[in-house]
Amino acid sequence: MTVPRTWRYFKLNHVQGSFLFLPILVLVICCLLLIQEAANRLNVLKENVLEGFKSSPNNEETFRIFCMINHKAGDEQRATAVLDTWVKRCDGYAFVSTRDRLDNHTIVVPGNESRQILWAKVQAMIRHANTIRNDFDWFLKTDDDTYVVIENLRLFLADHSPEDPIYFGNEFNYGYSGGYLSGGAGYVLANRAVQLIVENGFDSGLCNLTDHEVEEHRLEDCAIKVGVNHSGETLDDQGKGRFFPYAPETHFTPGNENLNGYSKYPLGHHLDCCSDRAISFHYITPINMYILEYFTYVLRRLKYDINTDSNPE
Amino acid sequence: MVSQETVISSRSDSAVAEKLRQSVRIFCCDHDASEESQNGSQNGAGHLGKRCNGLVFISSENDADLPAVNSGVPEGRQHLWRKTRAGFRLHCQDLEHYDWFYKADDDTFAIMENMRFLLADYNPDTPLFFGSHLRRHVRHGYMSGGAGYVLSRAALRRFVEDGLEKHRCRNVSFAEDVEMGRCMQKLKVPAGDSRDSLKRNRFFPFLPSTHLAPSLHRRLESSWYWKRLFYPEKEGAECCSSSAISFHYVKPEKMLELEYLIYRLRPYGLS
Repeated sequence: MTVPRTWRYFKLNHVQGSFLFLPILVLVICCLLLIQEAANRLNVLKENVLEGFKSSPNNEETFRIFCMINHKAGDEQRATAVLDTWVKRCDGYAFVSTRDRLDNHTIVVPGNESRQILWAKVQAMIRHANTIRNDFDWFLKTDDDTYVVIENLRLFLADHSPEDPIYFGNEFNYGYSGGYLSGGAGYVLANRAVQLIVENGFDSGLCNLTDHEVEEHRLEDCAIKVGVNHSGETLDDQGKGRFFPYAPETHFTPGNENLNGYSKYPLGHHLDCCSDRAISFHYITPINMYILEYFTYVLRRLKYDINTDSNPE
Repeated sequence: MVSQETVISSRSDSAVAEKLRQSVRIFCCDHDASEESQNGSQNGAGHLGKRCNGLVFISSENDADLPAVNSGVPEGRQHLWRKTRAGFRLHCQDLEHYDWFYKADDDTFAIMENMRFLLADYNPDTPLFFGSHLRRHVRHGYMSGGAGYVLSRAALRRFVEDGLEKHRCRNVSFAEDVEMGRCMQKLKVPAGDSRDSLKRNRFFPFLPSTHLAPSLHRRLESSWYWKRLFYPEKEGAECCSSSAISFHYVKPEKMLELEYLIYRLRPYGLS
């Protein structure tokens, strides 16, 4: 007589089954934990979607921008601020200072920091740019208190050729007929412009290389002599500027539209002064660099629509 | 007055943002401090008014354009609690047409889209309030007045019916925001956690510079804040949510700068 499948039978197998029970329980717990983990990651992902820390490289623009930053030796806070914020979006960069920062990214111009040495520094920058001309298309010069939105610079330069003898920036016309470009707001030189300035201007003796308080004048004098043009259009299609020689707040203050007669183009009134695709602002203190970085790249509003952002200007 | 046409036309509403705007209706109750800040409130109205579902300025004068109403309460910090109560009772209580009620100062800059994003996960018919959460004086904490606080419809109903009309909350106080916290606790309105999933705060009672600056640079004026934080706040870049909602002490020119940086300036190609 076989043993019927009574509860005794199950009780016997239950003892065996209890050995299986524990591993199964552990497995179930693990699965639940994994699901919980996945849910957490989803939450963080949801948050990160809003963050957009990194600027996604635009596939169409493949040109390379080298950034040259006029740095006052010893002012480490400023150097740190630019390094922590916008400089990482350049394809390459160098500081120009009277002292080596020992970071493999400093062009040294020996002397004492002053306005007088600025032209020597700019010369050093442009000479250096000429030595790396094969690796970069555009060369941006700024101060270490200039904040730059590199993506908007790329957008602007997409319509121009680095083979042209041009440089762009914010045009001033005070006390200098024909106008010149503000050093603080930053100016960007085409590859060809760099070549012409160094080979036909510096090396040929055509350009004045002596110290001068206003490097922008010396640069413009030289540019004119070698056929490099600065008067390309930098206003957007709504007539708003892109390169700015002051901080945003200054430009929004009513009464500052003409910048005391310095600006060639009258800037718009109030909030309309500045393009949505502005490229640079100047006189940005270190803490304000971090604030601009936060508001431009970190803080998100739900209104950002991916379709709108990728429409070309 | 800030020109409004260009701002609206330069951005198209994404489907999500528009849907949120319609489903999370926020009424803004802005408190106007003094005569000289009329300019501030003009700019304040210029930017807040576009983005709140409804708005009123509690002020010392009626002005149909803003719109502003006379609170009937004298100016001054000692009268703030009285003004707040009068504001809610008389002007900021449209429970039928709004889901949430945000009370702030006229130098508070608020990003309404991000506020809607926070509130979308909550039911306005449960009592709840959010803001910059501080501890001290009140066990479940209170919300800083400067950063502004937002009450659910149910919380506001309780505040007006039980807190004010049935006098379950105090009439007099020297610290309006603490008193609101005390009142909410008494009426069993829970204090919500408005942090993002990375545990970063969203409502801020100071300018961005104060919160973003490393601890070495924190000024004396804000020293109380760091001691009273309900939840810890990291220093530097990690302090603040990428979906931050409000900042305080924002003067008119700064309002324009924030308006520009948040609503206009965009790095091309960023998704």
